Amino acid sequence: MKELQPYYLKYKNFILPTVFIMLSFFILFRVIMPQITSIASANQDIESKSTDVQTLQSSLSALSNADESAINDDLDTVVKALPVSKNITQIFEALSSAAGASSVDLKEYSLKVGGIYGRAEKVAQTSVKGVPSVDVEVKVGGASPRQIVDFTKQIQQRLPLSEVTQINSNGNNASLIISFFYKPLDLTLVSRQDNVTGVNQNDQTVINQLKDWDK
Amino acid sequence: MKEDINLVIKTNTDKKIKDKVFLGTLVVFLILFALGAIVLIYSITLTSKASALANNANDLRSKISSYSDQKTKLLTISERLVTIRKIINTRKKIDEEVSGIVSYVPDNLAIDSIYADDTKVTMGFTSPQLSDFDTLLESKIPLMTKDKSLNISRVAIGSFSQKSTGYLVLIDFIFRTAPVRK
Repeated sequence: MKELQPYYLKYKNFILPTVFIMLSFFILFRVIMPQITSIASANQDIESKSTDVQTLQSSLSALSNADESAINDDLDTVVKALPVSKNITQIFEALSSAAGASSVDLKEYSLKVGGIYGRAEKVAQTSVKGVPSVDVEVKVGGASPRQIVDFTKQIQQRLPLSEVTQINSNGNNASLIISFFYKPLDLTLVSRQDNVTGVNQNDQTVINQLKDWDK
Repeated sequence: MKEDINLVIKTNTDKKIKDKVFLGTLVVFLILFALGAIVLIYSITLTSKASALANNANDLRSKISSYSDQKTKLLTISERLVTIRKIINTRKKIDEEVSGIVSYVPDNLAIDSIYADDTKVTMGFTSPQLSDFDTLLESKIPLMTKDKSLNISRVAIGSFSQKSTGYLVLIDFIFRTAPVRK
């Protein structure tokens, strides 16, 4: 120890400054800099959680203020307009009703129903991309061209929603290709969502139009 | 007399420098210490705020779960309405195209046939008198092309034939493709 004593005496005034410098570096690199990163991520976290809370609050408010019978009524209408599966009975009802309203004779119709089980190879092509449809070939008779035009109008103003993709009329007979839309419902995807908005004015306008078309 | 003699003792100068170094490092340390303490307290405050928000969100989620049936129904309505709007806005309007043309057809002409798809409408007109087509070809078709609601880009006579009952003219009406609304 004695041999270290001269060094101690010589450098003893630098011991504390060295300790201070080392502690300063420690605080800078082990406390301040990590905390700055942590503050940035905490701020982001707070921002996203605040948005979540706001969304959840508005969802809760929409749910607690919702009229259950109106919801059921609206749900019936939208599901009738866009069924979750290929609903042949509904399609037939719409065709019969449109034929009656336009005074045409519904002679025959054939549906390309497609798959019953398993993944579909190809979705039928309509002008509305991404929405599957069932193509129905309808033959009508005893009708003037004007009545056939009226029939196409009538069928497009009925539920389920459809699109007339081809009209081929000759004399009093006509053949039409009509695509009836449907869309499977992914309940797991729906239940994962938190953002529930009530039916707003624009939605209600569309629903009211659909109700008018529900003949 | 020597002018460059330093009267201050060397040990005194050294002591002053050492004091300055000591004070300097102490000040730096204290500043960083205070800064570290502030940053740490701020960070802890933010973390606790985030944690409180997470608890609040969980509370709200548990309250919402009691309305799960209504939630599913409302979300289904929204999901259906998005697609329904898309269908209503983008589906082809063959009926409007055909009825638009039919509205211009003079009463003395009979519509014999209609073929319509997404690109064109072909209409066959018959009449026992050839002159009956004049109104259609000379005044009605120019009016149709000027009617912006019809959106006709081209009109062409597909064929002209004579039958035992009269004359038959097939006319093609080609429409401008409307941009698909997303």
